[in-house]
Amino acid sequence: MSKTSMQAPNVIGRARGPRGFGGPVVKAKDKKQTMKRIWRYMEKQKAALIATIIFVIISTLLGLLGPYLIGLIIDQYILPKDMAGTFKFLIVLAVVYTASSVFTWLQTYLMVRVSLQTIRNIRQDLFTKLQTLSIKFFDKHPHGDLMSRVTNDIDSLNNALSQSVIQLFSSILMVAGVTIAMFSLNWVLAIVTLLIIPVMVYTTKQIITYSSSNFIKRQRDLGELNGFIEESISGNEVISLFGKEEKMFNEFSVVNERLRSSSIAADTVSGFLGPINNFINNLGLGLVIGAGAFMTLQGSASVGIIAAFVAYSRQFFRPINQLSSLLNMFQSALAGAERVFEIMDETPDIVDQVNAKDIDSLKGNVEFTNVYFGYDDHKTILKNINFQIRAGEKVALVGPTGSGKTTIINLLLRFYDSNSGEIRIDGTSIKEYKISAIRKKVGIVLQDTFIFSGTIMENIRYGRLEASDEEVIAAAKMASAHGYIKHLPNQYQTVITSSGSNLSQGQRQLIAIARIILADSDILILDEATSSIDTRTEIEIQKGLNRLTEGRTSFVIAHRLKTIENANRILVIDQGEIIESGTHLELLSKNGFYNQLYRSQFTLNEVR
Amino acid sequence: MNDFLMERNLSAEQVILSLMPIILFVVNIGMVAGIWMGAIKVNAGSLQIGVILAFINYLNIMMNGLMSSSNVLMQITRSFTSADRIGQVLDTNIDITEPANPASLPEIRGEVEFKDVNFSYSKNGEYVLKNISFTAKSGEKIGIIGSTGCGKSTLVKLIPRLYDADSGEILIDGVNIKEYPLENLRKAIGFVPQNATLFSGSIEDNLFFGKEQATNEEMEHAAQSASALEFIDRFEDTFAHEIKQGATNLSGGQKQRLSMARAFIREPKILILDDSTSAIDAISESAVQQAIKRNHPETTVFIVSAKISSLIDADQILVIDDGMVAAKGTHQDLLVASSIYRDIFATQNGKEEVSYE
Repeated sequence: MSKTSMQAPNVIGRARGPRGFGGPVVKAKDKKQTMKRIWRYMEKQKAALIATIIFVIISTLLGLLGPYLIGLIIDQYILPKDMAGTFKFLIVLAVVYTASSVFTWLQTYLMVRVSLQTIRNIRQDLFTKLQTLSIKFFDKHPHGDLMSRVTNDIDSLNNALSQSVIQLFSSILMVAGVTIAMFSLNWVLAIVTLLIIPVMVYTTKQIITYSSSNFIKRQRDLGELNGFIEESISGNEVISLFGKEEKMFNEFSVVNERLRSSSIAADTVSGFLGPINNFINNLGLGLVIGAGAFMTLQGSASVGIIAAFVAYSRQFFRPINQLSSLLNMFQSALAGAERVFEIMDETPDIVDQVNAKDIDSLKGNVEFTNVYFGYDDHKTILKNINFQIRAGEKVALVGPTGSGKTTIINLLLRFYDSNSGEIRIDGTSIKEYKISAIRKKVGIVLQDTFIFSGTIMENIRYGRLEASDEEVIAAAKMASAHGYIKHLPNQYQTVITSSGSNLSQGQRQLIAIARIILADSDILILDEATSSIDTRTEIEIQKGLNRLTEGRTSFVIAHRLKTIENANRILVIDQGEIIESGTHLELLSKNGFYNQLYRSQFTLNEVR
Repeated sequence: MNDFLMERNLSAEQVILSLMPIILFVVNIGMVAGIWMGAIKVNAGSLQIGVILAFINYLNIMMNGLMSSSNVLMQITRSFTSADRIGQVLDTNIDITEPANPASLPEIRGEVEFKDVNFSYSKNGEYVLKNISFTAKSGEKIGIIGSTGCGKSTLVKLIPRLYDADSGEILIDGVNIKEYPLENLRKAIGFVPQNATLFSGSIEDNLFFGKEQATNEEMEHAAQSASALEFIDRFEDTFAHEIKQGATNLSGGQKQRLSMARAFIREPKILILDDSTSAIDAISESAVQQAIKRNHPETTVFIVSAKISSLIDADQILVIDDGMVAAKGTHQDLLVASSIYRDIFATQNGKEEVSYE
């Protein structure tokens, strides 16, 4: 999953999922705040962090000691031909190098642990948060974008934490240390070495500015490509039915080619970075050796010092080369972290009131008073909805597609809050109940049934987690699902793929009904629950549902009017308003919209 | 699951990250050894001190090289797994193949015949369809009814060759569908699937799916037939209205109606409605049915439905039970001949009739 990249330049162009973001480096808006929050997560592992820092310091110091010792050995022992001394100090050098390797390993080992633990916690928090957010939030944010936050952004944060932070720290330490060591060895040569830095910074900056527009382009093309693939895979059936393979193929090759050319443009330019910096490094090295040789001849330096400087300049430039890309990586990780925190900060717009009531059971009196609602602020879906339902009544909501029937149900379950007006259950505003309590006590079967990947048993048990196997099977029998389940290869243990694509819509619906039978709710909502079920099965389920709805308030939404004829009350909804209400017979005799709707189901039958 | 991922990452990263210190160690020890050997030679006078300098420099270069190549190596190892997975997809056999020498055939008229068709999804598993045989003449309306999971949808999916039958033959105009070039076969079929999948883009783009470069009149006509015009007209930008990915900005009924319009615009010879009106109210549905009858009199129409009302006027109704044709005939025939059909009818219409009269 997480890609370790020590080859930092690549990081700039790393793919960031379907809706990859803008440029090569998207900067966090409020870096300080974001860092503080990351810190709050890492704080829990202070001990490991402090140990890491100590190890970094030690390994850097040891790294600095190496070249110094080399210089010393050459000048003091090899040149004077003191073999015993040379040997002794070489042993010291070997120990220094060994220790430096051990500490380098220890620091990365610890940091990876710290980072992954931190990431784990952030991921957990993010997921928990996503579970509490309202449907409105998910309506507003494309799923691809959310997915990319949970996976890519967290991934890049992981990379940054486990490597770039440590490398950044040790790079800075190393550069500072080398500078001090060089100055203490020979300040003239040190200045010569440093001369090259402005040149390097300047060229790097130039190249990055030049390439960034290419990276933006590449990012955009990649996003487009991903979106295209996603859609063509999910729409596969329609594509073959309409023979559009050729068209999709052509469109894809255009998008694909565009990505190739923008990637080439981006990579070519950034590919210059390494060789050019290398060249500048070597130039610097040449300068140092030249100046050193000159000074040695003059007597103000020595061969050993030149040797030490050669080693130092390597140690000096490597971190500097890395610095810019590390910073980039770090910044884009910060931006990623900020996107993650953004979600965590999202206040769920539907929350429990401070002293929300928990309830064991509901009687089932439901009352809507002057309820107005719109998904967008400027478009009202429901206008002035008023009705009272006594406990135990069966109420049918009838109306054309898009009239607002499902919206009424969404309000009752507090998936959304009404813009104005009041909804009461048992005389108390639903806002005063705990949301979880309402949803536990109000059972719903929807048009689209959501099936989790897992066995049938698990899926039904989702209605009531503590139910025994026998209870699950009993519920399945009551929902007439037992019939087909026992024909499945592994019966109740048959694994359903996610979204339940190996079951037909009707079969999924039966599972949902079994689920709700198991849940034993006080108020029931059947939203086109039986629309994909054949009527013979439906009759059987109806028997079960009738038993279930007896004495319980139930709302039924159905296009097939015969399924709701026996409702205590039928509310006819059109364009967000209740235009008629009454029993089946009352409404028929009214000769209004219901009557017309009812007749229309017969125009199909008139051919008889 | 989160914990599991963490463990995996931990072990993977630790292997990778310990490589660097090891390389560092090996090269540095090499440096020590090199200086020692050099010192001996310088001592013996057989080597200049500059050679040691050069040696140190070379080792440094080597170290850089090793470090970056260990990176590259890691990336290569990772890419092997990915390459494998890509290969698996590329190697998958195409199970629906074009005929080797497609017969050059006149235009499809729309006569469909199933001869002893058997089908199973997993080539050795239980048959979903058993011994299906029937003939649909051009311009007929065929209703397919049966209980949930009986194989209704599977049956119609065989016609555009979304799947191939295990045994038996499906003929269109007397020619096995495997002999038609796939493109021609599917061009003649308008299919409205159970799940109304739409693509991101304008409504227009989606209708073009059915027929490229359709004219405005054609689009309006198709939308009208599918009862979709009423809501399309309510959008300010009508046919240019943008549909989001996954069509999240449309209701279930709107999606189904567009999905139907997309099939109608093809002027298909064979129209298949696979339980595609579940989210559409009765008035719209009857309007759609009448429009089909009026606008496509010569089209063979297959209607898969659980509702008798949707297919009561069909020329032929197939009652499918457990993957087999349990009975076929018109509504009246079946009322007499099929107990299953009578059952279904009783549950759906018997009561209505009484209360209506």
